[in-house]
Amino acid sequence: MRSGTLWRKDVVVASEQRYPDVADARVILADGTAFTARVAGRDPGTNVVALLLDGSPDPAPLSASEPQPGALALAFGADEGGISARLGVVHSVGPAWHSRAGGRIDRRITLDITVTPREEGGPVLDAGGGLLGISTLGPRGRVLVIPASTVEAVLEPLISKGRVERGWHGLALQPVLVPEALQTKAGQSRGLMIMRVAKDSPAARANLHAGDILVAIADESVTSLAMLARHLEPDSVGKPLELRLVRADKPLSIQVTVGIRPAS
Amino acid sequence: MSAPAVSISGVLRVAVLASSPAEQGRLAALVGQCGHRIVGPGASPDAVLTDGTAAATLPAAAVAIGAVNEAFAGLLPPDAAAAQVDAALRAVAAGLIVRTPALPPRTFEWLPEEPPILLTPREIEVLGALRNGLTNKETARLLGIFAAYRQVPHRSAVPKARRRVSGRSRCQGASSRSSNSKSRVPNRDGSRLLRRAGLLGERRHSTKGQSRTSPQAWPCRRRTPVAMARRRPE
Repeated sequence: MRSGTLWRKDVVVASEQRYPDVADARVILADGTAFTARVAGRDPGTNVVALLLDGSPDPAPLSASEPQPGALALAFGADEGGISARLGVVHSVGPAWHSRAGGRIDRRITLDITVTPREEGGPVLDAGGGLLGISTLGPRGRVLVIPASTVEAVLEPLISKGRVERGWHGLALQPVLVPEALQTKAGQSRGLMIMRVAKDSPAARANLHAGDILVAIADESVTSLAMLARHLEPDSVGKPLELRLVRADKPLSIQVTVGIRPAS
Repeated sequence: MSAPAVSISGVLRVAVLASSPAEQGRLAALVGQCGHRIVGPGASPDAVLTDGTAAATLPAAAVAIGAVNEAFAGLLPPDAAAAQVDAALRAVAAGLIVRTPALPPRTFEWLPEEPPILLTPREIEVLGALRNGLTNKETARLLGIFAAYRQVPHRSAVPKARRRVSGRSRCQGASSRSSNSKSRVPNRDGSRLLRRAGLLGERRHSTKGQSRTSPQAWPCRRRTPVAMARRRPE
């Protein structure tokens, strides 16, 4: 059993990370009515899976709420006995962040409650009944909220294409210190060394090699993978990207056309 | 999963502890498919099969299905087959621990905004010597520095490496409580510094139960309080 949120008529969203690899599901609403559903798409980047139902009622509209630290938060889920609810406060609210799977989440909202893996994916409301988003389990059992705006942003591609197509260059990178002799040329002391170039990837077509040190993208210094992820959003696909590298003691610039990240 | 080298043969007496009647029935069916006999928790079972919500006091070594609690002797994925359950029950009954490569499940994590702390090879060597509990003199000797003690380059290398990983002192945390642990065992060996620098993995062992004064609780050279008091400030 997993929890989900009836997002709109005939659409249920749930947490992707522990959702079984199945094509069909049976959805039971809070009033006990059951529906057959199919998995329309899943996005590990934002931890959202979308299920399509047939003939479900239109849920009462909930206005998206702006989270405030210290505000009350009510997380709903489903357990063996039916509906479960957990009351806590919003622990912290931060800026947008990127998950390790590459998805951009609009706000970093953490709650001071615990939820079980079964309850993950249920709606999180504030004291005024505004919708904060859906609950998800983060590192070390912390409860995060995927904001409603993030869910809305991925829902359409999930339903129409079954996945969210994000940018991809085909590089495996490792943060490194730029050798001291090259720091003046590179203009910075840190960079990302290319450890591997995927076959038939945009980077391979642009003639990038393992051992190159990536120091900037589009004239913006990059020293961490999070900085890189900002350049690989869905709207980056098909666009050229100017990479500044250090190769064999010499700086050089190479243009790469961002591709679509493979489904696997 | 292959059968363990050490196992108990024959029919086992297995107690089933689950959070709901439905789960109890599913686990009991698995035990039946394995050919074992179901007994109550008070009947001295050979092993316990649970969904991870079993009571804290277990009557025997337990195999948990779909749980991630490392306290259980056996951990199996939610879709474990009867053959896997059978092998795991026999293994834990024989005193072994059962883990599957699929566990623990991945979690939804963020990409760190800050780049990791990067160290030069020399800084890694110096911090490695700190981790091993060497004094400045011993570190100099190990690294092949034979100049006068007060002039050796590593006298500046130690605080420099320390600053790189935001260590406040040579034995950072020697008198303060660790932020990640309730243990008051001081980290005198530099391992915390190395861990922050990404040179060591997460601490896997627990120091719970170790005495503060027990030699085992002090991973490196132990200074007595008198020696600490006489120690010259850096």
